[in-house]
Amino acid sequence: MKRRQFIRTAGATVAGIAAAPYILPSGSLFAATGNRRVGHVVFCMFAGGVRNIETVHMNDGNLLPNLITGAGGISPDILGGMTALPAAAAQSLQTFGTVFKEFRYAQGPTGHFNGHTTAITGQYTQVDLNLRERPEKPTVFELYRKHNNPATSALNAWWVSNGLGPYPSLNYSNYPGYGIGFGANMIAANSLVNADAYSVIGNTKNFTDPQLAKAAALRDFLDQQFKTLTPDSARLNTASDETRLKLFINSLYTKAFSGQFNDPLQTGPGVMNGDLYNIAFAEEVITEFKPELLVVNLQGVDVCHSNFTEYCDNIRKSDYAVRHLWDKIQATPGMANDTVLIVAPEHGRNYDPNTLIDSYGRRAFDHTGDASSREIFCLIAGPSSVVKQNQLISTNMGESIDIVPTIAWLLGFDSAIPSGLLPGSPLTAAFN
Amino acid sequence: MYIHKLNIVIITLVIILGMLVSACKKKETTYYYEVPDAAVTGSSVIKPNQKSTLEYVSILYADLMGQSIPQPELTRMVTAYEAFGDDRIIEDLIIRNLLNRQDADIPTTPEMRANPTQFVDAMYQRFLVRKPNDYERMYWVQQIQQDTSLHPDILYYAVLTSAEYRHY
Repeated sequence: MKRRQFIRTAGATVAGIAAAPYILPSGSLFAATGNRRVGHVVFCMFAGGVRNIETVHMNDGNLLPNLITGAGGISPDILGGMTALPAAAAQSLQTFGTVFKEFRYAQGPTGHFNGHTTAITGQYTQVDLNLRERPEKPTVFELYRKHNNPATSALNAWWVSNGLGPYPSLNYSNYPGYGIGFGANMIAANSLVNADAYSVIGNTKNFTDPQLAKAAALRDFLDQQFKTLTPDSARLNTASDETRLKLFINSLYTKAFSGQFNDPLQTGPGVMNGDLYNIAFAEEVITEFKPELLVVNLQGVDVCHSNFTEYCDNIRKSDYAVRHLWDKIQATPGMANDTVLIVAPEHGRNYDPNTLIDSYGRRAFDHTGDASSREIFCLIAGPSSVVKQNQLISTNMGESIDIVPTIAWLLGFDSAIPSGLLPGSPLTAAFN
Repeated sequence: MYIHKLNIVIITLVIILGMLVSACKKKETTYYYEVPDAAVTGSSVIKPNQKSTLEYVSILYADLMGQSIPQPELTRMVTAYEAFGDDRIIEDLIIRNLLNRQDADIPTTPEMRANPTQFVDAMYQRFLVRKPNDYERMYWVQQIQQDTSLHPDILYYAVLTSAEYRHY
């Protein structure tokens, strides 16, 4: 070996040995340099396809009195179809933050799955609905869990899905280098907390701790004898976290049996729908885990394909649900005044109606990709030290793909994300 | 004469040296052990394919309940799978749910203790679709005999949550 080559090799070896203790689990040499603005982010997808015309433009009155500041009674012709809800809060969430009135879902099919995928990955996608197909690009959960420093368990990242179909698959992607090991816990509680699910996963055999330890030892023996050609897949949760999650599921059943979910959001009888229940379950996740990143969706407004008046009523219910979620955050020690809430639809809805007419004489609307179906809003609320308060931005500013970079920026792992992976930018106009 | 005496001295020295060398050598002893008549498999168990969710719950139900899973039950289990992000957790809860049912086909503890070898063989055949090798059989029988707190459901739970049970 030549002297110069020897010195080069020896130098590299010494440098490697010296640096090894500082290499993070993510593979980065240094910790993320970004600063955390808040400890928690909750992103509520006001989904199902909602038009700006009915929300921020208030064409039929202010259907979002808890979110957006504005007077204006509901149009008299549909008033009879509106459910009686608890009075709106004295101050709308706009008071505690910034509203991007002309936000855009700028590209891709205006389908629910595409809209959800875009909002959760920060990438427009052309992929058509494909049941149980995971996103092609990393989700915000994986970006958070891989690049946040220190690394956190999946108990800190939650996807609370209103329904089944393709949506549960949004908790992690197929993207190389990411995947289940960096994914979020997902719960579609409307499908999990009911008598059918209880009959197959409730009423379980209870083993004592020594019995569980013995079973684990026996299982370890079996596993040592076993080899498979398929590589061990990464786990979403650690063994201890799995135990905690099982207890959480059991606690949901216990609450359901004791009637605690009969009126969880204090709406009164006959008001609850899937959206309101999903928010109620998101609040259960907040109570139990205080996650640093939680994404929850609503979808009830999709009834607009056939019933415009019920769509307006469901917008009001979603408005109430989001306000309840905000109040829950502010009532939760550890999250109060340290959480940013982001609210945005996944896409809009057509300007022109379809042929269906509801019992109040209103025409229904689909979402097939016209300009109106790309017009959405975005509300960002949080501590006054972080979020600009009571700001209404009426110019065309911000896109769906900016939400993930904004979450990364707020939680301080933005600079650790490989450059070029996210096309969007943080919505800095909303922040101090 | 002188040469003759020298030869005698040399021969004597060689003999003494030979005795000394042979005295330093350790006496070798050959031991013969009786090898028991045990069947030893050449390698670990290899089952290359992971069961799908549908396969897993269908087989699990049939294995524990002794009958095919009814369609409504299968639908409820698959829905539960889809409604929570960690399959392992739902699998664990389904197993414990089935183990807790009155109609689950689980031997009693006295039945297990009456003939541990037969119990272990039957458990392997039923859940892992193979016979245990002698080492495995010895291990499980020993566990049953030495630990009086072990019940069949604990052993079943261990096997049903093992990596091998998830594969075929």
